[in-house]
Amino acid sequence: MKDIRKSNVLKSKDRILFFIQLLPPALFVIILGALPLVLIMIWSFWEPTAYWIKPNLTIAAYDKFFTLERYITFLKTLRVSFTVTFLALIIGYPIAYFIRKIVNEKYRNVLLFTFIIPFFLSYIVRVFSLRLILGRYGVINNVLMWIGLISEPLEGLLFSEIAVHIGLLSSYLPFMIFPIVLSIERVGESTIEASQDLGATFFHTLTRVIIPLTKPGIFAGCIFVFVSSLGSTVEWDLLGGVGEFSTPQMLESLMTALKFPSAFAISTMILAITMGALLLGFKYARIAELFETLE
Amino acid sequence: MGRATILRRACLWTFTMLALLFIFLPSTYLLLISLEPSELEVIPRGFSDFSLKWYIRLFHQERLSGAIRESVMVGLLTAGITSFLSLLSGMSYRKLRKKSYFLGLLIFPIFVPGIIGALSLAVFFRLIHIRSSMYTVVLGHVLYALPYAVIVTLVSFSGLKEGFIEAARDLGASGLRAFKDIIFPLTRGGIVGAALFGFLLSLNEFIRAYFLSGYQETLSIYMFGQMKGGANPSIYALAGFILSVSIFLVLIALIYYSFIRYPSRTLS
Repeated sequence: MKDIRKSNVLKSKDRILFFIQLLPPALFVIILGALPLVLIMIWSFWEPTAYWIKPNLTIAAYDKFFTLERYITFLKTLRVSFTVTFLALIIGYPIAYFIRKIVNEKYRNVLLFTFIIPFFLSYIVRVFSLRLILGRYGVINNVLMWIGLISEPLEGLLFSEIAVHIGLLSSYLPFMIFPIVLSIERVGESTIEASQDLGATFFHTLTRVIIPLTKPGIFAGCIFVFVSSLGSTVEWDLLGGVGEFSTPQMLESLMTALKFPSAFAISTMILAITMGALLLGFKYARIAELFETLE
Repeated sequence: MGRATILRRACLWTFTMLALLFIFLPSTYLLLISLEPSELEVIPRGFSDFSLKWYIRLFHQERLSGAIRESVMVGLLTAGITSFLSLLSGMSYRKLRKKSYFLGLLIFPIFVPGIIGALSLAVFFRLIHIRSSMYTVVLGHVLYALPYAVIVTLVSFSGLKEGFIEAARDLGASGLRAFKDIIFPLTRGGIVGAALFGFLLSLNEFIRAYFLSGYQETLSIYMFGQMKGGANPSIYALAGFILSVSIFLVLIALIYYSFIRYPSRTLS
């Protein structure tokens, strides 16, 4: 059987066919996905001209990042992304556990599917619709007034940092749940039973067995939510107040103002953080395991 | 089952349902408000009060129909190219030795923040003198949808046993024949899924379209501009319209997948 396959691959006609199939998707991602990222990393060290850039090694763009206090906005965006990631993890983990370990198979697929649906709906509409919930005359204020907890509508729910947090969380929560479901799937029932037979309580089984074994999913979900929050403009634009300004919005305005090296420098820093997180994930949390089912 | 276990389960049920409420309540509420005929931001009182008034007014807007046409074209092209590239990935993936490198390459765009993917592609096109147009948006959208489409396709290819193809070839089938009679029927679900991902993700994508489009705006760009301008009933109708289109397509897909026969399951 093995020999047949080997001889098949060696046939030159099949080999050509193999490369015809392999190259289009690979080249597409390399040329349009990876190359532009490498270019903007290099260009962040170039010098700005009136409308474009010219080759010259300078760290002016990075210098401006600190002297013009762009780093303050950057740090704020990082903080918000961290908080959202943390909230998504503590909300998403129990849900993932519930879906994979407690619900029976029939409902499991329904639930999984329900959590996928938002992915196919317009994120602009979903974020915008939160205004109806958080606004002065929105659902939350109406409900709270109806119960009698407050007599005046709460200001500051909408057009604030709280609203941005809520928007990001509702956009990216499903992306935390899926990798964790995948990794819980890989923890065998027998492993859990063994721990229980040895006298571990539910809490011990969870913290000593299940959570350590699902590290790949936790890491993948966290990186995903973090990176997505870091690069989201819509939540800030539609839910943030007038005073709220974030790194993605800054990138947008720098690009409009044709300040290319500055925009590239900030992008490079975000990419560096992303790559760092991914490397850590692959090295220490074995993220690659999640994709093994595809092999 | 002990009492603690039952309690735990009840808590998890409630928790999950609350999360679903959190995710779905806003859009549902928006859909209901869009059916209220007055200019008030309220849910219609009774069934007789539901009205499509704002939806009908929507279609008198010239700018909107241009945006819809653009979005549909971009979506269809994205669906076609994404599905074709995913099929090629699936075909070559099964013959690869170092699978994880190829998979890593195809999936890495997922981890690039949207705005950075968008702006880097925009300046790249500028460098090679490609003017912004519908086609630059399509390329950006294929890049965005491809990782998800590839995952869906590879899942369907994992049901394809190498032995099936070898058997067909041993019986004298040409490569094309083996593809037509064995590979395609067994992986059709994934290939259609890839196209669906391409269309739906493209239709609802904003930031890449914003950076890459030419003079003609897409539906998302048009809608975003309207939303930033402030709330009015026609925006609710517009948002409701784009939500309904996506929900309709998701339902079609659901029906398709629940009726599709999986020959691979019966064979293996």
